[in-house]
Amino acid sequence: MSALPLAPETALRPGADWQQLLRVALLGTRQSPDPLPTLPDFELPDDTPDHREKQALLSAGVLTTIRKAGYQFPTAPPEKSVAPVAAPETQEVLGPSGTQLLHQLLNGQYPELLPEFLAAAAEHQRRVPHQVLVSLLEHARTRPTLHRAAAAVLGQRGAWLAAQNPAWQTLLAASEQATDDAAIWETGAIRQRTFYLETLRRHNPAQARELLAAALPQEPAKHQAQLLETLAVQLSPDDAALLEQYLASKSKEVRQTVVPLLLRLPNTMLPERLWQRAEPLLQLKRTLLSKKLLVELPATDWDKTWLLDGIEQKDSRFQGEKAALLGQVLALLPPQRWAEHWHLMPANIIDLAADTEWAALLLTAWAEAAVLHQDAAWATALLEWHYAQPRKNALSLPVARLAAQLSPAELIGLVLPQLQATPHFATDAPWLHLVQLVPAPWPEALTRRVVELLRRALKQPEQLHRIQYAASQLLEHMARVVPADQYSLCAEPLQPLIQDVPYLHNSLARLLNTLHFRQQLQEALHEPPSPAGPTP
Amino acid sequence: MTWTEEQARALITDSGTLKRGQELAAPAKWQNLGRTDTAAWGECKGSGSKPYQTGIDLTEPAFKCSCPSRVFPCKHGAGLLLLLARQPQLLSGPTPPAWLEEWLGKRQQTQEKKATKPPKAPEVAETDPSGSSFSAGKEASLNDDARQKREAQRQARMQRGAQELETWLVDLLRTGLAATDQQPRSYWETQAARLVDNQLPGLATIVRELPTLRHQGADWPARLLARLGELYLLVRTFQRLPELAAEARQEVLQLVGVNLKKEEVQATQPAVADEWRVLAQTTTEEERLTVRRSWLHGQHTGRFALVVEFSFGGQPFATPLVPSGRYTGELTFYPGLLPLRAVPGILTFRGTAPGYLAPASGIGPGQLLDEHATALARLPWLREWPVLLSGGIPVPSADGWVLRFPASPAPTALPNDAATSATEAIEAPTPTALDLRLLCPDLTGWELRALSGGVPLTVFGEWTGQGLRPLASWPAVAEPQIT
Repeated sequence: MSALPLAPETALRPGADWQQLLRVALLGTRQSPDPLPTLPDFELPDDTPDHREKQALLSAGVLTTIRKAGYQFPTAPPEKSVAPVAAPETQEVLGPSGTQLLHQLLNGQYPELLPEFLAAAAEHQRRVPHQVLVSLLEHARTRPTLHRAAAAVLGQRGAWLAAQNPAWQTLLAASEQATDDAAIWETGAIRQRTFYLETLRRHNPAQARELLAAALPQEPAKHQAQLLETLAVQLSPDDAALLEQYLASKSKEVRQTVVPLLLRLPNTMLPERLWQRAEPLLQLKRTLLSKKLLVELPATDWDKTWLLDGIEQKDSRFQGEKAALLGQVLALLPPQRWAEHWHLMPANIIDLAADTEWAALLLTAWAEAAVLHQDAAWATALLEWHYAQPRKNALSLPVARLAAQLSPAELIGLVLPQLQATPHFATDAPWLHLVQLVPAPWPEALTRRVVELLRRALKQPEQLHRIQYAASQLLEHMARVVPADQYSLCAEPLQPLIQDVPYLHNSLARLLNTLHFRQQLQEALHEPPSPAGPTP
Repeated sequence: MTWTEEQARALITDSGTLKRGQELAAPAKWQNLGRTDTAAWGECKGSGSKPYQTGIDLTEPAFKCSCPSRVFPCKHGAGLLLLLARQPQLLSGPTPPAWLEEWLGKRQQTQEKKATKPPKAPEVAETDPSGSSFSAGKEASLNDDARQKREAQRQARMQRGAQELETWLVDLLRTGLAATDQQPRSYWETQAARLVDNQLPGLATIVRELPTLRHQGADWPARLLARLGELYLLVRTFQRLPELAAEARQEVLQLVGVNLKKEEVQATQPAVADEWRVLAQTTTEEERLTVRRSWLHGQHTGRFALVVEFSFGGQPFATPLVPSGRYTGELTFYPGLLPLRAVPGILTFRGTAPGYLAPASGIGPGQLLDEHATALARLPWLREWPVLLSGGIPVPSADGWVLRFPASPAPTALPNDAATSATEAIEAPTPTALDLRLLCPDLTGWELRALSGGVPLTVFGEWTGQGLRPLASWPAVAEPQIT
C-alpha cells in the first residue's frame, strides 16, 4: 500500500462509526441525543454555527470515502460442484460474412430465410461463433419451430451454455426429444406424446401400435383422433383391425380420422362396401356415337349402417341430404376405380361428368378423392379441365390441394403450356394462380418465362395499377421459390425497370434483394472460418 | 482502404437511420454504384420519380445526398456505407459522376480555407447542451474590466448558491433522513432549480439523484447519507475555492457544473501523444440527443481516456472514433485531480485491432482495490474508475452476475529477486475465491459467459466502488482454429 495520510489504523472503526452516525441521521439531530462518532483530524471548531449538523455531514463524507477506499470483495460461496469448462469445438465456425449475415437475420431481416440457413449451416458442419450464441438462443427461445435447427449449430460452447440456462434448456431438448424417453409417453402433453409415437412408428411400427391400442380407451375423443393420426406413418395392413375398431366411434372427429386411413389400405372391407353403394348409382350409357353418364341418388335414407361405412348424415361440401350421401361415397372411393370399371381415361370421365346436371357434385367429390388417394393422374386431369374452362362458370375445385398431388415436374408440365396459351400478364390469366403453387426450387425454364412476362408487363406503366396486387403477390412468391443461383436471371431484365414501376418497386426490390441475400447465404457456407476469435 | 461493418455502424448516429439504412444495404434499389479510394457513390430509387444521388467522401468521412432528409448520414448514405462495408465488389464503377466531383471539389476548397485559418480557431462548437461556459470570449482584451466584473458577480452568485445548499443540507439532517421519505418531489426539485439558477448545474444534478436512491433497495438511508456526506464535502471545498491548488480548483469547478470549452482545454493543457486504442464505446439516446462515450487506452503511456461526444438531431460526431480502432495522435485531458476525460486532437486512423486480441496489462482484483483507494485519496468524489481486469470467470450467482477470481495457491518460496513484478507483489495470494459483482443486464452476463467458456476473461469496465460495469471483454483463448 502506498503511504496515505490516514489516521493510524487502530483509531479507525469505520463500520461501527458509520452505524452510529446513521442512527443519528435517520432520526435527525434534533430528535436524537446520541453522540456523533469522533473522527480525529476531521473535527469542526466548536464555535461553528449548526455545529452538530455540519459535523454529522462532514463525518458522513469522510466515513463514506474511508469505507469506499477500504472496500473488500466478498468471498465466493464454496462451489457446489467444480464449474465445468466448455469442451473444445469440433465443427468449423462460420466465416466473417456468414457471421455478418446471421446477425442480419437475427435482427429480423428476411426472417423466412433463417430456418433454412441454420439447417444448411448444420448440414455443412458449421457452427455459430461464440459471440452470436446469446442472440441466437434468445431469438430461438420463443420460436419452437426454430429449436431443432438452432440446436444443431450451437457447437460445443453453445450446448454448454444453453445447458446452464433453464430458459434455453428446452431448446436443447428439441434436438434430443426424438430419442427414446419413455417418460414422455407416460406423462407428456398431447403434442409431445404424438411426436413420441410418430418417431417410434418410424422404426418400430408394431410397438407403437401396441402402445396406442392400450392407451386409446382411456383418452378423450379429441386426443384419440390426434393419436390415431400417427398411424399414417408407416401405415400397414396390420393396422386395419385397430382402425376398424374406431370406425364405430361416437366421435365424428375420430371416425373421420380413421376412414381415410382405412381406405388407403388394401384388402379391407370398407372400399368394397362403398363400391356396392356407389356402383348402381353411376351408370355409363354407351350409344353408337356417344357416351352419357347417368346419375341417380341413393334410394334409401341415411341410417346407422351408413356410419359404419364412414358416411355422415350431413356434409357441408354437398347440398341436399341424399346428394351428400352420394358425394361422400364418391369422395372416399379411389377415382381410378371408375376409370378401370368403364375403361375410360380420367379426362373422358370428367368431360362426361361435366355434362350432367350433377357436375358440381361429381367433380367436387372426385377432386376430394384424388387428394385422398394421392392420385396424380386424376389431379392432373381435374386441373387441366379446370383451367380449360372459361373463368366465369368455373367450379371452385380445391386447386392447391390437387396441385400438391403432382410431382414438381408434373406441375411444371401443366404450367408451361398455360403460360404459352396466355402469354401475357393479366389478373385473369389462368396460369397466375397455378404458377404460385409450384414449389421451390423453380427450374430455370419456368423462371425465365415468368420473368419475361413480368418484364413485358412492367414496361407498360399505364397498366400497372391494374396488375399491381397480383404482380406483387407473384413477386413475393418468387422470392421464396426461385433458387438463389437464378439471381442474375431475374436481376438483369428486371432491375433496370425498378426506377419506373411506381406501385411495384418495393416488391420488385424485395424479390431481387432476397435472391441476392440468399446467394450470399449460400456462399457463406463455403467461406473459410473466421480467422480466430470473437470480437467484443 | 476497406471498411468494416462496425466502423460503418459507428458513423451512423441515429438508430432509426441505421435500421432504414440496413434495408437499403442491398443492391436492388441502387444503380450506378461506384467507388474510388476516397469516395463512394450511387443512385438510390426513392418514392419520387428521380433517384437520389448519394455520395460519401471517405477521407472524412462526410455524406451527401439529394434527398430532403436533414440527418447526416441519411438512410441512403447509411445504406451506401453499409453496402460498401459488406459487399465492396458491388460498387464497381470507377469514375465518379459529375455531381460528385463538384461536391468533392467544393469540400476541398472549404478545407483549404479552414487550413489557412489560424489553428486556434474553434473548429466545432461544443455542443454539450447542459451548463454554461467558463471561457473567456474573444473580445476579452477589449473590455477586460467588464469581463472581470461579470466574472466576480458570477463567482459571488455561485458562492451564494453553495451557501444556500449548505443551509438546506443542515435542515435536512436536523429533521432526519427518515422524514425525507414523505417529502414531495418539489422538495428536491425546488432546491435543484435554485442551484441551476445560481449556475451550479453539477450540484443540481447530484440533488436530483438523491430521491432516486429511495428506490434502490432497503438500505437507501445508508446510500442517501453517503451521498449527502459527499455532497457536503464538495460544498465545503467549493466554499474554500481560492485556497485550493490550481488542479483541485479546476476539478471542483467542473464538479459543480462549470463547463470548460474544448478549445479552452486544448489551449491551456499539454497534449499527450500516444497510440490510442478504443476499448469500448457506448451510445445512449435521449430524445434527439445522442451521447457517445469512448474509452481509449494509450499503448505507451498506459493511460485511460474518456472521450464524450454529443450529437444533436442526427448530426455526425466530432470524431470518427470506431470500436477497436487504433489511432495515433494527441489527446488533451481536462485539467483536474485525476484527469480522465479528454478532447481528441488530430487523430490518424491506423486500422482496427483484431477484436479477439486482449490488450495486455490487465490487472487483478487486489490491484484494482489498491488503485481505486489511491485514486479516491486524490479525488474523493470519484464515481467510476476504468479498469482492465484479467483472471475473472463470469458466473451467475443468486444476486446476479459476478466475476469469480479463483483461489490462488499460496506463493511458493521463490527468492524475492527483481523478477517479481509489481503485480505479483500486490496480488497477495487469496486462499478463497473472490466474487466481483458485475453491474450488467442478465443477457450481457450470458454473453460474457459464452465468450469465456468457463475460462478466465479479460474485461474492461468501469469500477464504481461496489461493482464493475463491463464494457468490453476478450477471451483468454481465442476461438480455436480447426485445420
